[in-house]
Amino acid sequence: MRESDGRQPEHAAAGLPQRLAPDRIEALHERWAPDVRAFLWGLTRNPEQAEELLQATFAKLVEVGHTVDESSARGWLFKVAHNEAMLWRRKAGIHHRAIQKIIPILRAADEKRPWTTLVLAEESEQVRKALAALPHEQKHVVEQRIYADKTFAVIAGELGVPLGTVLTRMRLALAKLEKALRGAIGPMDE
Amino acid sequence: MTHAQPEDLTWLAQRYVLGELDAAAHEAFDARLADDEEAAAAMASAVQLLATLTTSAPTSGITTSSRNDAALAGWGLAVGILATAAALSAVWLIPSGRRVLNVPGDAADLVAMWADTSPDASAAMEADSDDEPHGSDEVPDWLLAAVTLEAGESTVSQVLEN
Repeated sequence: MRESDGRQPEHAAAGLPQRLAPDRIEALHERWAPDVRAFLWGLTRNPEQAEELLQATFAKLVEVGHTVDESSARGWLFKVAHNEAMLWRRKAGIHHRAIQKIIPILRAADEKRPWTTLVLAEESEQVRKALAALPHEQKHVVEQRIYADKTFAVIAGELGVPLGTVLTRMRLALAKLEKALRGAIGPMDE
Repeated sequence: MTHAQPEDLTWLAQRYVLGELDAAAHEAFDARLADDEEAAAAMASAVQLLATLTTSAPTSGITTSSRNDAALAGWGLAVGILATAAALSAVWLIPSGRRVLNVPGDAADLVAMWADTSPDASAAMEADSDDEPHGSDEVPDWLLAAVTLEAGESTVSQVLEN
């Protein structure tokens, strides 16, 4: 990153390759780690693996972050994270549908964390209110897809409506829910 | 190739995360994630939204399948990881109300990397031998805090589980 972005001045003065200052790395980690973590979870479907890849991503930032333009930090982090995830995928040979294989593991691990709901309890009421505010038909699709884990095709069959109708209801519902819960989720951009 | 409008991209990402894209669309979106920053951001946002919804599953009126129980566990664990970071790390509520998770991660490795990462070896060899070390001798406070928190993680977990 450019000189005004927190490079170590002693390196610049010595004419040596420069590195990002610790406070810049900390700031970038604080700002982007949640989003990069979510991105990695989406790619790997493995929260623990996502954590490891997140650390690998920020380790790269420590090494070469000084070469990245400040305005491109988010894109750079996503790109590095993606590369790390692809390396892992190739090594692990995990197909995008492998989530079914790891679900029992995730479930067992989750049962060891009874405090999860406690920590997030303050957000539950917001979610319930947001769901209750949805039109009935949209709420039903959300509940059936997310909580009953039925595919859109199954839901459409049960309701006797076209698949496109179900997709539209879900799309509208998620748009409303994202807007209502933005404070709980946290904005991607400030 | 014309990419989808922002609103369409959000929906595309949500279907990707839900596993509701056909194989071709899934692979196409997968490929976009390599260098399309907006697609990557949309996917991350979709993960965060769906994880938030999953942790507040309604307790009545919905029949859940065993597959769903596992899926809920999967999403729940994802949020659990986020919650772990919040519980074990310093969590600040900035004035806008957004909760920022400061994750220590593998802090010991980060500290070691910070101390060991150095400029190109050849450049270092050519440099004046009297030059000061390239890396800082002072470990940043946030890394020290991360190591301290990581060391105390097992203790905190035991307390929370009791």
